[in-house]
Amino acid sequence: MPRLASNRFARMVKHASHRFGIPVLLLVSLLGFTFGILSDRCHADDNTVVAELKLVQQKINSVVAASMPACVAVTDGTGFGSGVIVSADGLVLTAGHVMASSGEYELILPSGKTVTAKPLGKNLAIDAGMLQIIEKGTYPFVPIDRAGETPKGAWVVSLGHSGGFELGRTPPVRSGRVLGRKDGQMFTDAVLIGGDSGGPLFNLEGELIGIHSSIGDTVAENRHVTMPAFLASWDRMKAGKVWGKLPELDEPPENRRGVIGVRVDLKAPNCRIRVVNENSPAAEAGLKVGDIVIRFNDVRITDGRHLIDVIKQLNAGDVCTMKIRRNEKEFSLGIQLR
Amino acid sequence: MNITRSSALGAIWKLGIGFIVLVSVSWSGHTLHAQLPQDVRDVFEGMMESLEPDLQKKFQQAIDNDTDKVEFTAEQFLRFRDNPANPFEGLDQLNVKKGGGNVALKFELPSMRDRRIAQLERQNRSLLDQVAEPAASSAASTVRIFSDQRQIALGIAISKNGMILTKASEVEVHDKVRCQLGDGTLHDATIFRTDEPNDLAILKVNSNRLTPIAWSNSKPRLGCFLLSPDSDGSVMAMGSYSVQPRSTVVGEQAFLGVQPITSTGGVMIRDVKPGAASYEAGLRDGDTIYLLGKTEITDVASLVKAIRAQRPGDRIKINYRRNGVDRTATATLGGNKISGDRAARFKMMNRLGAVPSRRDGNFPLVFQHDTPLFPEQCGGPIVNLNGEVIGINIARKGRAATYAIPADHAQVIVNELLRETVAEATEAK
Repeated sequence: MPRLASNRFARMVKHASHRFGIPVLLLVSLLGFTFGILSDRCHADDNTVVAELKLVQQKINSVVAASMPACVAVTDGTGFGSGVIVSADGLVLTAGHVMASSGEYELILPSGKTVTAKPLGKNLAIDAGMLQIIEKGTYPFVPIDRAGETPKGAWVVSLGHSGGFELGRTPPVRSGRVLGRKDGQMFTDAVLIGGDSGGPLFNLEGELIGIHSSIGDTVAENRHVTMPAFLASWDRMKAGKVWGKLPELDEPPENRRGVIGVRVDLKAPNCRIRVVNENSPAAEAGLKVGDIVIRFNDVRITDGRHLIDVIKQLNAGDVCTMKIRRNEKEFSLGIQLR
Repeated sequence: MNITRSSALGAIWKLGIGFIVLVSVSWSGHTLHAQLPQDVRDVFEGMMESLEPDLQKKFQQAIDNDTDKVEFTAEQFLRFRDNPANPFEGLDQLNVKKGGGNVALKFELPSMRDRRIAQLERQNRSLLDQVAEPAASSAASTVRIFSDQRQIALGIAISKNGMILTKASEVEVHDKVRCQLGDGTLHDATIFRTDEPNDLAILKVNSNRLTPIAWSNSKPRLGCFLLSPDSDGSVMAMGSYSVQPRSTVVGEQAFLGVQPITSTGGVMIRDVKPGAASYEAGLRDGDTIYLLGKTEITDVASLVKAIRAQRPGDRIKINYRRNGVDRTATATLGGNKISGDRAARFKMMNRLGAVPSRRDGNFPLVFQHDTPLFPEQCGGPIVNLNGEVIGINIARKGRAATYAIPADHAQVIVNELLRETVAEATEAK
């Protein structure tokens, strides 16, 4: 099942960018309010559900009023994306693919005010990017939900400059619910389209919980980079580092070579892990620097080069087992290539 | 390539947004008859205008014959495969060579209209059923409009004696339309009046038992939940109030062609490029505009507002300051232009999970919401959680947007259309 999700993602990216030349999202370019009463199992009377929805609606109204001034349009002069200001001095979060140029960006605030921003870093592997407004000033900004625990079913509010900045139109407000979460992404039915990329997703408390990233074939497939994923890359992005790669666009994912996200010590007599990349399958599986890989699937691994050769034969999405030696103890773990 | 299932017709591949069956290289087409699903028909119609005439004819024939199979020559297949308007992916997996035999394709799509909706989605049936109560009173004034056996739109009863307001462009294209009232009875309808700019039509049916709608002038806040009722009392879908009423008339937005920067004593401009109205009028980067026509320009908002009050082609006097010297210029304002590529990509995305209405733009005044409706679900009322009718759904714009005409504006148009009638009747006497 998980593969289906990643297949569809890749297909979507391909769909838009492959056929039309640029990444999808540039183109045109609320917490834990669990709604038990709305679930199938509850048989509350209509008035109660309507009353509860009115409460949600009230919160959405407040979130929109408080957050909209911080929702900016981002342009490099050709494409349009969105972004959100997260500090008074003008730090802006956006999607990695929105930062497609190397020069400065122009940001348009909903008020019509235009400012210039310089690119900081981006982690393309999770489609996260960071910009800094150059003009000194005190900017409207939104708080970040650092816990990242918005549960499934919670209502969310989405803003973004759909189709690019439009004079006299505020960024369209959309609502939906959290449908799932995986690999640093959150899925919702708050519907997105080109130009929304990089725009903010909020919980009902008005905290930023996601940055719009990609869409799928149905109106219920909308993907956002989660805040924990952003925070894990925060310092490196702020320092201007650029790393990672957007999902492969031209090959179907089943034919794409997989990675586990480690670097091995090629000089060691065994297969010793030298670096574990952040947010990689290896990090998620619990691999640590200094671990010795003894087996990968059924293959006995002799050294680092051997491990690389074995993984080369496999595809993204393949689920594998690894046998590890750590502190003289041996144990096995499962890992899915990406 | 994964072969997901096979049938008597041959292997079925899962390809891009659709399923395509390579029936055989010499399929003749008369042995089987399958209906053309609405979703597939919508995709055919959506890509048609971008295809060459012979391919257009192929797909038009499929629509006319109500079939989901299209037979191509190898050469036609290759042209269709490589046409950028073709949203079906993976056709390159089929080994077709120039000069080869004919290729027959069967087009299937995962149904958009009968999509499986997850329990947690905003559109889940159990949630929609629980919010039916506020929508009930307007549902009683909602009618379904049919042509042949197919629903083409919804309508709103506006008088007891048979007047029904609906979306003009959906009913005009059919010779004969019928309205199904809340009691299930079907009545022949005639087009009584139309208003082209707003895409509204008043139909007349021979009945004296309609429940006229009660419009509301309530103004929702951004983010308010909205319900779109069907005539059977159910809620078709739920959405949020996205954007306050605005004009979407193309070309009506006047452009000066500057990037404004707030400044003291006016608005400083930059990004003045040759070809833009500003440049042609003699404005340059760094100029500070302080008077536009007779409007004083104090900040970006006042500049935007002053320009928005104009129409493309209008000539307007601009007072500005350059290097401390006051100057004047006269600009002829331009219109809104979106490049063809950007428009094409946006159009493709608008069709992901949605079917835009046959007329989806150029409205003088609409508010935007995010309710996922299909074209045949437009023309009916849209209400807030208090059950107040705040407008009429006028078009599915695309994946992320639906437009509705605000109730007060709709009432003005209806009154004007009916006044015409009175005037004509008086003249006839």
